[in-house]
Amino acid sequence: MRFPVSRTVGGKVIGFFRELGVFSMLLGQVIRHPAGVFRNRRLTTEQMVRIGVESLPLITVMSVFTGAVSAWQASYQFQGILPGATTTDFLGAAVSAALLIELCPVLTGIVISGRTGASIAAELGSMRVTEQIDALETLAIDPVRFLAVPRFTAGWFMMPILVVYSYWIAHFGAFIVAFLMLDVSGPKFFNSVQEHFHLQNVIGGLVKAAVFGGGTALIGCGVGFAADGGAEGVGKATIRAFVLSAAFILIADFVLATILF
Amino acid sequence: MIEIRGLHKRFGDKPVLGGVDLTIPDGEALVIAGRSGCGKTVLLKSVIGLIRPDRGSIRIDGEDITVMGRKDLYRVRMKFGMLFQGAALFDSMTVEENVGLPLREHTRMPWPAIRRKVEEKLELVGLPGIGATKPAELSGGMRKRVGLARALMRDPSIILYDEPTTGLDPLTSVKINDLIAEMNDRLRITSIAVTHDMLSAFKIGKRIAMLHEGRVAFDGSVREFRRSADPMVRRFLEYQRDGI
Ligand SMILES: Nc1ncnc2c1ncn2[C@@H]1O[C@H](COP(=O)(O)OP(=O)(O)OP(=O)(O)O)[C@@H](O)[C@H]1O
Ligand SMILES: [Mg+2]
Repeated sequence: MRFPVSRTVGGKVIGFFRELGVFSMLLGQVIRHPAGVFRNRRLTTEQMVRIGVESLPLITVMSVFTGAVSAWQASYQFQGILPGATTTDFLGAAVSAALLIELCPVLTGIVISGRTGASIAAELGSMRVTEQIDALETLAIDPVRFLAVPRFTAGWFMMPILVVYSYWIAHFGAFIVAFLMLDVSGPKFFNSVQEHFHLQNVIGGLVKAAVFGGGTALIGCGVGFAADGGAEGVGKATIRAFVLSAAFILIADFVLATILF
Repeated sequence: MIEIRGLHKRFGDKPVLGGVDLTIPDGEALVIAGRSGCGKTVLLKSVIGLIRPDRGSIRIDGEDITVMGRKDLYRVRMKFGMLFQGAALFDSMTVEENVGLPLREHTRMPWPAIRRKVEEKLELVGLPGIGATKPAELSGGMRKRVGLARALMRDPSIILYDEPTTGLDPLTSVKINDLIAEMNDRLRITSIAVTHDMLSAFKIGKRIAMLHEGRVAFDGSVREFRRSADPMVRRFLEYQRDGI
């Protein structure tokens, strides 16, 4: 007990790398099943529908208000920097770039990690503690192929689709605020969006989305598989999955930003 | 034939199995008895490769599963059926999908044909016509019987039962015991059952192995077990009688 601080910090660091190792191993196992995607198409479709349906309401609300607040905030920040007339000229462009590159992918990712990541961990965790995963093993059915592959596939595939949806809704939210509260006309707003539109921003945003979606699903599966200790363990796993996947998204966002942009 | 030699397993610094030796010929009906927490479930799960022992070997028809890769292990597991203590039915699926899953995953049989076979097995366990229900709507006894139907689906040559009658009412217990005994008598399926319940043990077992402090402390026929003068066996039997 002489160095309690360094010991706990050291323990945390070791724990972090061990965790990283576990998830990398799971990733390795998952991508070793390319044929599994086809064989599991029924399971995969189920998971895709589930991710979409589960998260759509919250993504809608999140997107409208993210767009709205971005427009409001951008106009406020431009005050005193840009001359009054130019503010309205650049509003659409500024808001759009932020939404495409950063806000929509990251916030949709956080929503997914709270809805889908946590629910995957809860589902697989309760399957673990009630021996359903052992039961799959005894039936010679690989739990990674049967449970993790469909969720991972659905995760990286659905996320970009949800983000495209979020793009539209968020731009709509931004436009409403610009039009009703900031006196920017429709043509002005959308011309500005269009003039400064770079396909690269969208592609970058969607690449991020796929990484966030796949990572969240994978973390949910890993945490769920590792659950123990009955119903309490399942509850803990749920929270852990959310915390880990949210942290993953924020860190991965930075790393990808430095690579992509 | 199953040959277990020198099996050791510890969790952390807690030794659970300390050198288990057991040979189980084909068609045997073996009951594994022992105090709660003595490692019966760990032994059972080792036999089907869910738990890797630290030391020792487990040969299934001559093949050592403790050194096998995943693929071979899955191949050997096709010989097994296992009934879990809590039945371990997949609660996102219907009874029919649960019981049919092994065939859906391992054969190209079309679903209508699988359904017919599912219904056959459900009839065998005395639950015809419940295919469309979800496990959550079933009682504990019904779940166990569905679990048994699922375990029987691939016509295994070895079935492992983890406490098949614990927590069931006496009448349901009798039904399950009869069913297990019948599997062994009629279909010549090797059965290995873990149980606390001595009534059940005497009904379904022809041979009893008792685990004590990580080793097999008694191994003999049911008759020998009941008449044994071994103080450890006597204590276990008395404790059982008091327990009921
Ligand atoms: N995965 C595990 N991790 C840590 N310890 C374990 C694990 N599985 C079993 N044990 C320990 O091993 C011991 C034996 O467990 P096991 O489940 O085999 O007992 P059992 O004989 O089946 O008991 P019961 O009759 O109550 O089911 C227990 O003390 C348990 O705490
Ligand atoms: Mg047990």
